[in-house]
Amino acid sequence: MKPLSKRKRTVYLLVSFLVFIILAPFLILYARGYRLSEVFKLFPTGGLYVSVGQSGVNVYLDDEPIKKTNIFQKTVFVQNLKPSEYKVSVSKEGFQGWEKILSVYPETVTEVRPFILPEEPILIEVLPTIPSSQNSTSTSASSSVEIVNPEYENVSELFTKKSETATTTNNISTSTDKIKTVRKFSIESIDDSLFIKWTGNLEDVPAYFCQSNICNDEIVIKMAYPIKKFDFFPGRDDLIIVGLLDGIFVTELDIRSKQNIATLALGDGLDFRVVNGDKIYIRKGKQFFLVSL
Amino acid sequence: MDYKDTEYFKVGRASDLQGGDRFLYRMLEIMPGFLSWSTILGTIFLSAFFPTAAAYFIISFDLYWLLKTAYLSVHLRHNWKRIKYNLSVDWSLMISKMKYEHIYHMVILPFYKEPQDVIEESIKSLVASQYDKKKMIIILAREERAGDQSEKTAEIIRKKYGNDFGYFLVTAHKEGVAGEMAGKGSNISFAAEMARTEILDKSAIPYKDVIVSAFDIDTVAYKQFFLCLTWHFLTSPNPLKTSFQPVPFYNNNIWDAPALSRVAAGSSTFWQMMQQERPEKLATFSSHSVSFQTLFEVGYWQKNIVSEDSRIFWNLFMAQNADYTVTPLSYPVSMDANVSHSWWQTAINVYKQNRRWSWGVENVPYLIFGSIKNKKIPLWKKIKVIFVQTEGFWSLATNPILIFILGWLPVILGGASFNKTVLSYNLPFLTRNIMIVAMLGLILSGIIFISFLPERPKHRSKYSRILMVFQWILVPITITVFGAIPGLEAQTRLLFGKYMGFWVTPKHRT
Repeated sequence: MKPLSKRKRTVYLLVSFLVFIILAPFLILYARGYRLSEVFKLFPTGGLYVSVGQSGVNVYLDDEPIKKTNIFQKTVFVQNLKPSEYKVSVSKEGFQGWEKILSVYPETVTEVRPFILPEEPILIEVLPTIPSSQNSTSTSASSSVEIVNPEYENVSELFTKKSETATTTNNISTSTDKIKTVRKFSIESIDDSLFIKWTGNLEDVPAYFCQSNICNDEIVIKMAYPIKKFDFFPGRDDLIIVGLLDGIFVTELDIRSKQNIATLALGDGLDFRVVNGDKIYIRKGKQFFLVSL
Repeated sequence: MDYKDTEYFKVGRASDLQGGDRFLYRMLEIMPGFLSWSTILGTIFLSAFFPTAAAYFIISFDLYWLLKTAYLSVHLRHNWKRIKYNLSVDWSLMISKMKYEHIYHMVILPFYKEPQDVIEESIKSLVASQYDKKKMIIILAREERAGDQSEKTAEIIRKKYGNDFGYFLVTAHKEGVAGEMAGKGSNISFAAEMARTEILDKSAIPYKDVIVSAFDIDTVAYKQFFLCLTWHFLTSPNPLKTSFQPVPFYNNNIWDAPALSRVAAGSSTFWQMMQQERPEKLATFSSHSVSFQTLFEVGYWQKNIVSEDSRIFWNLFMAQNADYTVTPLSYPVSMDANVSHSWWQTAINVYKQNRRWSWGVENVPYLIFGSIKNKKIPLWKKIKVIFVQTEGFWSLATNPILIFILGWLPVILGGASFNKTVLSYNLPFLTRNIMIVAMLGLILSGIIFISFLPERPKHRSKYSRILMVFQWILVPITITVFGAIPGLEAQTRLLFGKYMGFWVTPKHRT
């Protein structure tokens, strides 16, 4: 039996070379987001990357269901979108809704991080005392003894402080009731507005500081009432908890269309504190509550 | 003056030369490592500072790799058919119409401290092979430094099998001869010269009628290997200007080898099979055969280097002014896959063996230096052969790293503005998908591998055959860990002048 003939090998080599010459530019254009129209004309597309962070959430694009997130995939990437404006909305039963109008640009992926809070967030009361069960040695029945709840004492102390300097996230930050600096954000509250300034390089500014592909290093969020207190939502630097006259709310910083504002607790005279960047406590009169996230 | 008479014909390293030649050779030693590191570091640099350009390069490279895989698979498939055909042919019938009785086969079996059963298995295969044993010259080439035990082993083997062959000689290569490196090259060269003076000259056997097969001690010849080799020798247009290369199988102990060792061994076999269909790219590797006359004219194998198996081809190529080839036999010989007492030790041995094979990169400076010096070689031939060899070692050391590791780099290093592009999102998916398509070729590897497996020993379950197919998903790991990394290490050592010595692969049978 003869070896593979020189002629055949040359043909295979030439075919491979031709395939490479034709396919390589095509693959690069495809990867950049270019697609073929029905009339075989190349046009650029963009994409949307929705980072939900929760499972069981339905994601819609222009009211059309796209995907339901699951435990393995909590993000949705949609590409082949013609440059235009799209309505992205998410929903989950028992949770407050979220929607946003976002622009998709050629060869670019527009990223968004929706947030959804329960319709009625669970507030767990922090009691001044807690029962401590002890087995009596003289009788078979157990007796209940009330002891001081150390958590209550700590929380109570938090709310008695007027201003503080604390570590609120993984990074060192300074904060007062009116000005906060966390990572590369500096936020100041004046009356009913929050002035958020990006202190890092403009090249690295988060996408939600940009509108129509023009990025600023400062954005302004206006609330319905004067802001009594604000702080970052645990684990997120794009969400702010604000205390207003009528309750405590969570607003997103994203200025790409009207901000979504979710309710954390309603009522007059409420106050809140964020502890260690992972717990939210609310004060209602003399009662303290831990928000279950 | 003929090239073989020059002082640099058997140069081992730059320090063997003087003046400008030394500098030139040193630069050529640096070149392969420099090329490979430039590729890897260049990709990292591009990914960090020009991520878009890096992404274009990676996508193009992925496609090139996919097409290369397909192209080589065609060669592999054809060679598979050819080996199966050659194994089915009755070579005694093929050769019966020729005058071949004058052809002698000299088999050199170098050994160090390998156990007796390993040597015996190889000798038994020679006893069982179909060729007139009176025309077979067996040289058991021991190393004196291996001590009394190896002498005793050689004596036992000689007593047991010496009379089965026309000639049987045990040689003992002395330690510490000036200008020699401890290793296979110096041992088999000494053995060949001893065979010449003690057997060929005394029995008046013409050198041109002797085909020398330089085997490893674990090389087991298939039954009709010598008939097949004789047929190719006699039908060759110029048998004194070609070496003969069988396909190395690693079947002796394949059922006892762990999966990573089987895949590494199988990959090496497949590479040789592909090269058999591309003889212009083939150099001798491991067990190979060549006319004694040809060998004698260049003073046998080089004694001062590690990779004498391929260097002998380049010696002959230079000596014959590029009028020298390798004839692929497409007929197998079987050797040991790496097996040690533990999985970890086996992995280390596989790594070290591949590093030694990759040290074959020491032939690149030899080849380029020779091409510069030997004015009798046509320019196009020089360019072609230098490109093929340099590209081969560059591919070995860089391609798996580019494909399996660096494909994601622009996404990691490219910065926030690149990470907002559709290109950044698509790069990992595209790379992964191209890889998956390329990996489909591994199905062919699995089929070919099991088609050549020896009979399953009774102590192995019938399900272990299934593992022999699924093991091929390990390829991305084995070609990186046991291909690219030892390849890169060998090139880096050469770059810094940290020359490697000969590492004897331990032979261990369970």
